[in-house]
Amino acid sequence: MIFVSKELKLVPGQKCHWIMPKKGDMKVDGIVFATEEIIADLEGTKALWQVKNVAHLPGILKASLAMPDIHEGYGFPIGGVAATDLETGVISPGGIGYDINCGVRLMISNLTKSDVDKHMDSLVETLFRKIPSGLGKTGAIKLSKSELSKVLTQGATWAVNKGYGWLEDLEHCEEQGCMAGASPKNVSDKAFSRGSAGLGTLGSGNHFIEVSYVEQVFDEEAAEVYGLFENQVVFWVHTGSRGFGHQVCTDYLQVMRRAVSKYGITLPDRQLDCAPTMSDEGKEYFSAMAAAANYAWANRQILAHYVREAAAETFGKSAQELGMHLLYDVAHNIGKIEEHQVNGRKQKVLVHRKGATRAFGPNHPEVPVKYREIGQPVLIPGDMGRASYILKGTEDAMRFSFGSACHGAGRALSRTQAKKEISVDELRDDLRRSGVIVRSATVKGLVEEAPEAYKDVDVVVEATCCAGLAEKVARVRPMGVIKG
Amino acid sequence: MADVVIQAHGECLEDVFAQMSEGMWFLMFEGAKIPNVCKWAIEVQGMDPEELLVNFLNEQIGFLEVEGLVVSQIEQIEIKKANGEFCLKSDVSGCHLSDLDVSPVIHVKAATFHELEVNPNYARVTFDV
Repeated sequence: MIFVSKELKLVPGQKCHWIMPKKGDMKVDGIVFATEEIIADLEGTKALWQVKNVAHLPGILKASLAMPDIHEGYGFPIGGVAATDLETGVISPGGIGYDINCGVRLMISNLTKSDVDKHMDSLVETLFRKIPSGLGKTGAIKLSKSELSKVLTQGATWAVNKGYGWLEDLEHCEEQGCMAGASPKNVSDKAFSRGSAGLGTLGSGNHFIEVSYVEQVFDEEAAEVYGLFENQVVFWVHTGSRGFGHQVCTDYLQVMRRAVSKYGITLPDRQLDCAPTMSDEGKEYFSAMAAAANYAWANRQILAHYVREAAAETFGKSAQELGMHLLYDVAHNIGKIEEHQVNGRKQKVLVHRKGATRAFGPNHPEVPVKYREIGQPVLIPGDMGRASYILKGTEDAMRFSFGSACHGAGRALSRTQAKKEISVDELRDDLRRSGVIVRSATVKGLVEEAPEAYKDVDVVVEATCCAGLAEKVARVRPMGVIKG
Repeated sequence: MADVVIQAHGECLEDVFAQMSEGMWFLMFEGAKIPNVCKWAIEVQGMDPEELLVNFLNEQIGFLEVEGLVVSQIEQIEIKKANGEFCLKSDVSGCHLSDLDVSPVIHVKAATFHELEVNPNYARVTFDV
């Protein structure tokens, strides 16, 4: 047993499962999927208290869940998952986050590390030139309100129809890159304004474009199905819905504040404000959230197109010739209506994933046909100095975590701490020595995202696999990074 | 969590709001001098002072993202309660991003309700950066 405080204790369940027994007004237990060491590292943060707070949400099912990359967030912990009953439960913008459908996509290629090594400087420069990054950088795409409305309902399909990418890309996106139920009429003018020039931009913070190579394959069969092989060069895109998603979240936090009073909901934290999912407020937020999710899918689709263009320019071959197919695109800040087994029966639930990745197991109908026998690819970016992972979803994830796994390494230092403790010159030298070339919109932005600012992704992934939420397919190492 | 907490003190609610705004812009530009080239008005509502402050700060973030406007000074600020809602009207001065030799050092994405505290002499806001 781990005593966090008199009011908060964790009891060991099966390996890497820690139960926070229901107490007081908690409606369900909490479950933290982690090792004892990961939990020890949470000391002094509010992350575990946030797991407890989430357990107060009306209609929450099974448990308030935390993935192994758990760290303190706003309202929900990052790495938090909560499924609520679709008919009687609530929807909470705090359980989805400000950057709605922040997510990652991974493109494979037929290039090997040795093909690319000598071109890395040029490739990174070309990527940096082509991809607008950092605060205030707008893209080349300026949209009218009516055209932006199409993006909000069509998502990645809009981008493909405009020539940004290939039709086959859509099949390999969660939700085929377009979430149903989006309604632009429930999006504020302010959000439209903030979204009008943000499409096709990377943004700042932890968003990145990364060139990596496959260092190790753990599961030959899955790797073959996913199109991965050792020394292969792959390309990551990590971004979300930019200012548009932030505005949607901000707008609806106010709606939810009023809804909490209207529906007599009592919560321990204002950032958990919510409304019954089937209320007018709940339905309107869901439709605006889906619109923001579609904006993010269109954004990643456009950025992936720029990455293909940069690679084609650098290597003098088309993206098709370079075999730059989309392996997969996953959301890790989102609310989804899904069907899951609860208390022995299948039911529709609303799954909040706040810094958590969908990890559906084999034979699930929502996994693309190509991967269905293996399970869904689960993309876990680490940090720019160490590694990232491609995992596969499991049957156990369906049972334990509503088909969810971790979403990254998780921060170890806040941005402020990172800036105090890390020197930018030393960081650049260290990265170059370890074979990673970095370009960043700002020097400070680079330091905030230094490897030391993150937990070791190996530890997080081991805990995820130990808990049964996913299985390792391949580990990749960074070669070049563009930071926002 | 991508976090920065700012605490502001003031002689009244209006002063606290103005101080918090100044703190946010100081954070973004690390204290670089922002010239007074233009003026514009900000008007927001909130059901309580907490929501009003968050809206006031997020409105400024929105102006930066959409119009490229950077606040140098809160020229005037007035908070009133009417029909159960708090209303804020403010005149601010500053410049356009293109008038500056410097770029923002930190991208403040949102003022949040996380551990938010607002009273007539003090406020504490966590910013998502």
